[in-house]
Amino acid sequence: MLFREQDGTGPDLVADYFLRDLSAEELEQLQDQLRNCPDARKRFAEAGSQEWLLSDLHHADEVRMVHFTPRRARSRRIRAIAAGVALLLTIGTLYTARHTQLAKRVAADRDAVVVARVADCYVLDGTAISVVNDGRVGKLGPRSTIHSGDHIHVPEGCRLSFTYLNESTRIEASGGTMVAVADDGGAKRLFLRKGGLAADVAKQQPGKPMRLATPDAEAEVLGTSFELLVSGSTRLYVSSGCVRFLAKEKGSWVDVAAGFTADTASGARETGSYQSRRFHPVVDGTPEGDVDPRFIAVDPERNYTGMLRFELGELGGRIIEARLRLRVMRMQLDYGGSGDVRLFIRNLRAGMGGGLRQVAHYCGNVGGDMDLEFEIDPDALGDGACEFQIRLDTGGNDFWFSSSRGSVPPELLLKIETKETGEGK
Amino acid sequence: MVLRTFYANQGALRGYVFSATRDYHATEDILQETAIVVAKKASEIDAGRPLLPWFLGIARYQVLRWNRARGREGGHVSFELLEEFIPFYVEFENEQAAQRRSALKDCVEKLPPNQRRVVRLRYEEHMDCPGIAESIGHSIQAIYSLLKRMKQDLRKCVELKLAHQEVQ
Repeated sequence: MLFREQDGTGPDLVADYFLRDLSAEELEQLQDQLRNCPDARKRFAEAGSQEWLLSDLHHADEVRMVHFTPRRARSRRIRAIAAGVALLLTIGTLYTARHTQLAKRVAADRDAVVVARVADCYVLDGTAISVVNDGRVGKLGPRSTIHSGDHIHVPEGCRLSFTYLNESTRIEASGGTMVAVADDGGAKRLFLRKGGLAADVAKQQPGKPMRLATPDAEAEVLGTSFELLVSGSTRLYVSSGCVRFLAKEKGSWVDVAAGFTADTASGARETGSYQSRRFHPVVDGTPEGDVDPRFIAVDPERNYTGMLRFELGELGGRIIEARLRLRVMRMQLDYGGSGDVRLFIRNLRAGMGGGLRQVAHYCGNVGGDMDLEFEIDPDALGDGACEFQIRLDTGGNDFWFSSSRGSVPPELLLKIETKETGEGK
Repeated sequence: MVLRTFYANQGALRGYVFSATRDYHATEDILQETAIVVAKKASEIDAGRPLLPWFLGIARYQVLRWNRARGREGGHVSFELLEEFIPFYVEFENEQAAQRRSALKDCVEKLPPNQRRVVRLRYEEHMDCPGIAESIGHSIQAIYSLLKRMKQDLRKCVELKLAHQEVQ
């Protein structure tokens, strides 16, 4: 049965139900149809599953977890495993969060090699940085140890950094990261499934380089600082030293030097140089409200929206990555701890009419002292001034970010391609 | 046993919750919350009794909590009516949906660029129709019509692809 309008005589309430909020009267009409009309019931079920599938198509990867139990891998299909792991993680989070004794026992039972220790972490209320190893589930906190074989999930809005034992190598994982840690006879191994890592790697023993893998790339490191990001493709930024980089599809390694970047989207045959720049707003605040100038407040109920204006000047190259980082200072939990925060850009270029366009969206928990980081489409930015507006969807809480006059000013972090290019070896 | 039954009924629960919230992320969150409650109380439950009604009751409570947190009062088809749709929710099971998802993916990729943009705004950015209308400079009514037409076309396309696969 096809999804269709109802004989052209009125709105198709079945279709509308999944597109907008119906009025009380419309909802009653729809329920009458569902009670009395088999065709409407069938269309309702079909419309619901189609709507869900369309969302699942765009977000399925976000909720699929790293597989960790080899025995089950052989016997079940990936999606079933992923759902099972998600459930197990949930249960693990529950137990570790609410039954400390069990968490301690799980941690004490782990006999895998300890490779690193948590140096710093930020965890939102109601969430946990989960760690799974050989089917056992726990959570990471300050000073927790990290074992070979650990699969770590850092939820959106949280962050984790850890240092390897007996050396200064430090890894920082951003929110939304899934990474597995392993030790291969003293050589460090990381598998970054999703998200981003910043690494500061001390000089490694001869013959034992640190190796990082992503779904479509590998990197080999002897001692350097770099960032590795997985979002569709894999992108590497090297800030010091040198990293060997392999795009698996191409099959050949390139050496990426300090100040250069490579990504699997370009096949890593050619690396480009880049420059990191950070900007603070020239003007920011809450235009509609009488708000302490140390804060940028967003509150749908009082119609508060945040505003930030940056002067980027002459950038001298194409922007390849743009992030806006805001520090959450306060919040009102009128509606619980989560929120839908949307970031819009106002086009200030001549002839563009000054219209607003959404460039980023954060949906999830928010907590005090959290850095809320928006990844912005680089094409939305260019030379000169740019202005952002921050809004919260109706029904959210109100959030207060530090302004440029507050203790942790907003930062616009840009990576800009410079003209120099290097050929892959 | 209780958790195995919960897992086996995930598709039905997902369909039930999604039909009430119409929000993909909220549905996954509510399923997680429901799993937490089930895990917590599993030892107290007589595994011999029908478990699905118990799971549905927990999920229902979580949906009500979610509604309250969003400042919403109902606004969805009644839970009693939604329970009648449980047999239809098999397509919300990841395994069952795999073939349909793959066909839908192909069909979405074939949409004209303007429709793909609307799909991205709606299902990736989670914008509502007024937001999409503002973002791309169309009227809200035009967006409603476009989405309905597009979903109709996608449904036809998916059915054709699945029928073709069956023939092969």
